[in-house]
Amino acid sequence: MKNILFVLLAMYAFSACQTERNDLIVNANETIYVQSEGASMRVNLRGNLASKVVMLVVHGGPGGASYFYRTPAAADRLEEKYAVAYWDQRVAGASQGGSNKGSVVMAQYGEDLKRVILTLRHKYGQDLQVFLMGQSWGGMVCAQFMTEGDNQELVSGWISANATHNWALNDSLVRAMLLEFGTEQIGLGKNVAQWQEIVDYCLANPGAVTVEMSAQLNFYAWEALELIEGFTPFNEDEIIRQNLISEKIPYTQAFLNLLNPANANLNNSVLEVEFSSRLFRVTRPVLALSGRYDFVVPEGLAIDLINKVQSAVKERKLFLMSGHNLEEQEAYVDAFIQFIDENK
Amino acid sequence: MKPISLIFFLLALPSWLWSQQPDPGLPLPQSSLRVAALGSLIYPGFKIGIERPYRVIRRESGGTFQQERSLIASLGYYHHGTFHDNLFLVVERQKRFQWRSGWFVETAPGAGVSRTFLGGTTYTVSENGEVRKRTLAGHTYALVSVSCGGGYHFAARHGKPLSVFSKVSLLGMFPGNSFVYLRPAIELGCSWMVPGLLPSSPTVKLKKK
Repeated sequence: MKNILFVLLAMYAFSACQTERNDLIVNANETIYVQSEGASMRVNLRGNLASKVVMLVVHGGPGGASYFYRTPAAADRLEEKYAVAYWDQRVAGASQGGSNKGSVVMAQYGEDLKRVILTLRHKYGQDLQVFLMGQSWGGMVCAQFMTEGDNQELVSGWISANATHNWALNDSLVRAMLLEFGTEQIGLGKNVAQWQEIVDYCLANPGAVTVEMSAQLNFYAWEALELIEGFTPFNEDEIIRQNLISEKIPYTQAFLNLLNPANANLNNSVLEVEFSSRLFRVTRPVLALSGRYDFVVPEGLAIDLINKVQSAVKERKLFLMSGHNLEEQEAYVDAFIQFIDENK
Repeated sequence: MKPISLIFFLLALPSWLWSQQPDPGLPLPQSSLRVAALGSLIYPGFKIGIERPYRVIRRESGGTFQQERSLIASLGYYHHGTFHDNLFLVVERQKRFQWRSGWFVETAPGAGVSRTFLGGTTYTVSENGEVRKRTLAGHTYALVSVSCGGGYHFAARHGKPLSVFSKVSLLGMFPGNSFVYLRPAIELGCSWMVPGLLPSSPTVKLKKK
């Protein structure tokens, strides 16, 4: 009996001393959840974890999903060289939760991002290098995180891809771009009726942007992408359709998260939020990417970002045949890889 | 046998059996044990429960069908990899139109409680940055469901205490992210009137016309 007890105690002691077994393999595919203030956020780790470098996707929205970002270019080339962490923010994608409406505020998103990074480093090693890649709304989340305390010490670099960090500036730049581009297109006799409506709206609504104007400008920005001859916006929905089964996408959850009123409220509440005045705190390497035809987040945001950060390494690139959805997928992936290569 | 062939077989079986047997009439429903496969796209699950009839409405003159009202208490489960596993208890109020031919259609609104278990190792981070693993992490939701479908009851013409059914159902869980989570599903199952299981004597209401 004593022997049996000894063996059982020894087994317990052995198991208690064990640390988590997390193989740093080259073709990882692991899903974890990080819980934070009422939200259970899904993080899917893919690709080459043996590189000990991970690009953390901070998706658009609010209320989007990281599923949109696992394009063939990302899956084939980026994941072959580095790991990619596809993070679904709170009230987005496959993230779940109970009564958590009160925590859907800007500051919480920065805290959530910090907790995701701390979890990844805990799980895969403190020497894991993390690069942020924020797109669209994801730029607000990255800026919130990067300008808070010493958070940036946790990351090796920040890629801002067609991303915003200043809502009011974004709206004013959208209006200016729609006006300029629309007037030019009317002069060229292209889609005159549609452009005229957009230009008329912009001319009739100068000055400070209200919540309603912000929503309307955003609507026109997406419409404008469809009006450019010879340019086809990247169809994100096609990624979802192709990966629905293989990625086990919970489509109703992702769709209902997108429609969640908490995201609409957040959208309205960030009208006054800007990080331009806090960007001087950023010293980590920064890469700012823009699409020439991006009416949703115009190039001016990337210019503002690069001008304001104090990073010794900072670079800006403009993709001439891209709109808002990283249309030149291969070129964007090239830029991600090159930036990580140079700064890891 | 491929699943689709099995479905066609199950659907065709009652018609074939019907043509082989005499008509013993519509019996009073009895408590039944229900077992069903519960699926949504590729995600498997099951639902097992007890059905207890409490009222039957039929025409005084006999008629070709009767209405049956039952309460069904079920335990359900589905597995959606990388998303969650969901274990739920639901009580449904079922309304069934049972024809003499054996065929029936039914609807069943329900309410209950759901407990999900997240589809991946789960971590929490404390205020001071300490990361901890959580076991059996998930969320508890209030659950409502609606379902409708149809099937065949072998008791109607063959005196066998068995029915087969298929249903489409929608599970709604609250407050999913302070909002709602909806999950459509398909049920394919059978119900067996087990002798001595929760003996029931449903009230019979006779309609004149």
